[in-house]
Amino acid sequence: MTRFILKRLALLVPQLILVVVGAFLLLRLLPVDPVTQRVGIFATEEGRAAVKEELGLDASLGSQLGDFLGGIVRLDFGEAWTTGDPVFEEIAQRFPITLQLIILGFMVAIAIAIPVALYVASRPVGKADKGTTVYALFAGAQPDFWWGLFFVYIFFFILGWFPAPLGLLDIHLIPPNGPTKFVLIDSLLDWDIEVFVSVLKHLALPVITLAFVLTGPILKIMRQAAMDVHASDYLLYAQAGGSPRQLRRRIIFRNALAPTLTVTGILFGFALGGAVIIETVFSLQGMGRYSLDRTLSVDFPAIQAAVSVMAAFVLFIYLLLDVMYAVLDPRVRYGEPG
Amino acid sequence: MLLSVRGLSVEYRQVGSANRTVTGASLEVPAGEVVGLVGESGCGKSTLALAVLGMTRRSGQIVGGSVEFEGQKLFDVSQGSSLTEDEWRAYRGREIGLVVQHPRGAFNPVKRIGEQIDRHYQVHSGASSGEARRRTLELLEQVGINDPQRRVNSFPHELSGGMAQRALIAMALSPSPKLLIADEATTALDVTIQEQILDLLDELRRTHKLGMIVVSHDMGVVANYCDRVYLMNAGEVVEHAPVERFFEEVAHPAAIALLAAQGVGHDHRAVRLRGLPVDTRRVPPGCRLHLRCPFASSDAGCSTVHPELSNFHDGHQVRCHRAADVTALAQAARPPAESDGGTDV
Amino acid sequence: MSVEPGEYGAVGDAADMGGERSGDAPLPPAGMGAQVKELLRRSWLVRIGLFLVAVAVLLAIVGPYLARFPLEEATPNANLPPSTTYWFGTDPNGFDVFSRVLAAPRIDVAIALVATAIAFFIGSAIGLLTGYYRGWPGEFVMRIADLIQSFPLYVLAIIIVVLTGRNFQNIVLVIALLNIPIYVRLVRSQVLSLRERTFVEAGKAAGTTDLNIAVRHVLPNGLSPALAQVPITIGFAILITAGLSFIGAGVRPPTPEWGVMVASGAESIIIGEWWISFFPGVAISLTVFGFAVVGEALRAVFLREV
Repeated sequence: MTRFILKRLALLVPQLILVVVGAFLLLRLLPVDPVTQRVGIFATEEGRAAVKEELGLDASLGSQLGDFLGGIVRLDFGEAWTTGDPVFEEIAQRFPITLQLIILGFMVAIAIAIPVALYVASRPVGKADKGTTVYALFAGAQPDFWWGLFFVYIFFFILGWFPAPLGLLDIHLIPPNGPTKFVLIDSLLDWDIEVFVSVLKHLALPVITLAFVLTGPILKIMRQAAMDVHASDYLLYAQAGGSPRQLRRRIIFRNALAPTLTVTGILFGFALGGAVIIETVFSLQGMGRYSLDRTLSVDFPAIQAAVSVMAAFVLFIYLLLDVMYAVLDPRVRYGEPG
Repeated sequence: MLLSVRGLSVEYRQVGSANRTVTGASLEVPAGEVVGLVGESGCGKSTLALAVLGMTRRSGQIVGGSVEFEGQKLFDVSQGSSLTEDEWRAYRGREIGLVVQHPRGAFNPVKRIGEQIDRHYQVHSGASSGEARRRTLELLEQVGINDPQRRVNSFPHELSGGMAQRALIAMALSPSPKLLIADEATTALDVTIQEQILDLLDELRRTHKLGMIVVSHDMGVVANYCDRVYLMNAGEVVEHAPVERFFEEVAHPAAIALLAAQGVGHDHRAVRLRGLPVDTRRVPPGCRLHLRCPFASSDAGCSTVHPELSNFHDGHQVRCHRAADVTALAQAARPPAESDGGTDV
Repeated sequence: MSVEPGEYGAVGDAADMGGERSGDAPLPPAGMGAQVKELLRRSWLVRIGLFLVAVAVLLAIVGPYLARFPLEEATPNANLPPSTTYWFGTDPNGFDVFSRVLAAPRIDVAIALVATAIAFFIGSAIGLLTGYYRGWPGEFVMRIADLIQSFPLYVLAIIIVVLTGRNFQNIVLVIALLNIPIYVRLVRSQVLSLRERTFVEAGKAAGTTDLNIAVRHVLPNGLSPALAQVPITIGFAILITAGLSFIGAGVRPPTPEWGVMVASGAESIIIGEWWISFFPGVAISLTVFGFAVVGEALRAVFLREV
């Protein structure tokens, strides 16, 4: 197992370098001129040169890349062109907002999808099974931005259960300044229940929206995986050997979980990028909005850092899931990791 | 009687049709005896073996018949009675052990072998994990696994087919069942190990009065280890007899074909069943085998009248309109010198 | 009484014939047509899916001609609820929502179809080549595919579209680029496993040329999982196009496009003016669902999971 983790970690390093360099090169390869973006097309040569120097674009591509890579090691992504603030600080503020949203969304989706999938897999071809299959197909193919708005209309405008889609907190409340940067956790650490409840209420609709689209694919794969276990020789044999129902349930759960994890990992990567949509609907200032806003204002340091951080995080999640998979299914440990 | 199966039928429902893979099969196993269940692949013998435990594969259903174990009725479809799930557990695994042909598929792929065998024993005996592990090691040793201390830590995919097969046998034997159903349990093993395991089972039969159903298509194994033989074809029991009788006086064309194919006992090279096994979804009228059978004749009613399983001799029953002719031909073709060697148990 | 053998169908009848046809592709096209028919007959869901897809494609062709009002001409009649004049109401610019919902497939469905076609052809070609002629180029291509897929998809799309220009062509190219790796993977792995199959060996032994084998055997079989992926990619592409436009990184307003239209009603929904976003959203929802259903059905046919 240790060997597997080490091998998998060794694979992470080149992957990380590749995505960081990829993010850097992507911006330089695209036909966009950040200098013109800033000074306009009628600027003088001197003016252009000054801006170019200010932005650090006068240096050679190699030394720019070197600066970027060197900075990353020191957790320094440079200063944002738009605000002049350190990009690292900005991302440290934004990333937890997105992460909090996505993790909660996954928790809700998994908590719903897995029991339902296990239930219908034990009663295939029944009404519940057919209904679930259609639901999974439907939910997995839905525009989350529209459902977000739809939920706002129902639960805010009509029913008034949840607040308007305007950020994480009621406007009169002061956000906690805790160590984790996850508002939900920090407000609890400060024992500020008012803030905690307010955040929960504000997060409810975005989390429900995200969970709604995520339940589709998770249900689908978990149901299929559980059906495969149900049809397996070893489950039949466990029953023929008189193993108690409880034990067989555990076998189904555990053995179906491994393939589900893989899909969940891929979904996580997708959801991290797709967070921009839910953040837009609910006016959350997370990583998605950050990437979008800074792309619209052609802020190279911010964009390349945001992309690198998100890609690196996704790679890290893949690693985590690979390790979990290897724990659940020993056959993987002896194959190639990843 | 240790086990008596009466009129057992199993059906698999498929899209738009039902496939009755076992039809009205009856079978008895006295304590301490070995019963061979033979037939070409797909004839329903594995389905029958599983149905003894009141089970089928998914989408299957036991639609008729009853099973009694030591006088206790396990289920009876005509009365709509069956044990509850919990009551079954007193029989499945504990009183009736099952060993199947693909052992690596029978083990949970993500758990260590030792853990699985321990658990199986604990579930049935309530033993502590220490006791269970001791028993596991002892049994693994008995079935001829070298270095059981190391092997208990293996995962199923790390074992060779033969080794997994022996581990599975050890697992089935661990709660000391009274009946062991060995479904092609030794087919995949090489000859020496096969002998070693069959000898072990033979010894258990003598010392512990272990009854056995050996599902096999290996007539050699049947001849050497079984007391009685049941031959199945197209989901029906078509012949059964004490083993000596069966080999001496083979009376069903399917039996001859099976023997001929393996060159055991007789030289019946002339006797071949045409084509492939009968599709039980669409059985023809008359004898199920008549389209494939070289003995079939419309005069005898092979294509119109379904033959019943009837007494051919004492304790020897056959389901064939032309059993007498078949035996006569078999006797004629029989090389005198070989007969004893083939049937000697 | 004579009974013809085969009338009762011994299990092996079909298999007996297999030997004589071993040179043919193992996926019989004739059987596939029958399977599709069977699927349509049995599944109401597949019928609905096909209907939705047909409507979407039809609207992509004739949608703009069905407009009851000018599509991009602002009027003072803003934010009117649905009425007999404006069936789906009007938006903040005074556009008729109904006309624009019908016209939008000209953008959304067209982008999705073109992008999917590009992804399918380029991806499959690369997959076929790298799978059939193994070696380092294949490995290199796979690493590039890994790289593309390890970026957060939406963010990558945003960056490329915004920095290269928010127009039809760039959106198509980005969506194609993001989907090419999927087709490369599908086709490559299929071709790699097909190579090992006996019928290729048989072809080689009989002295058929490489190209002949590739075209006659590997191509049709290698492409079937990719073909089954096509409707799924189309649906997905519609989602991405609308999603990008919704957040302001795709099609520019006031072009009649579903994502743009949902966005135009996003602010009004807090004050209860639901119709502006509702109808274009339903259109996306049903269209993408339709493609997903058809994709699932195709998979069932191609991968023999019916």
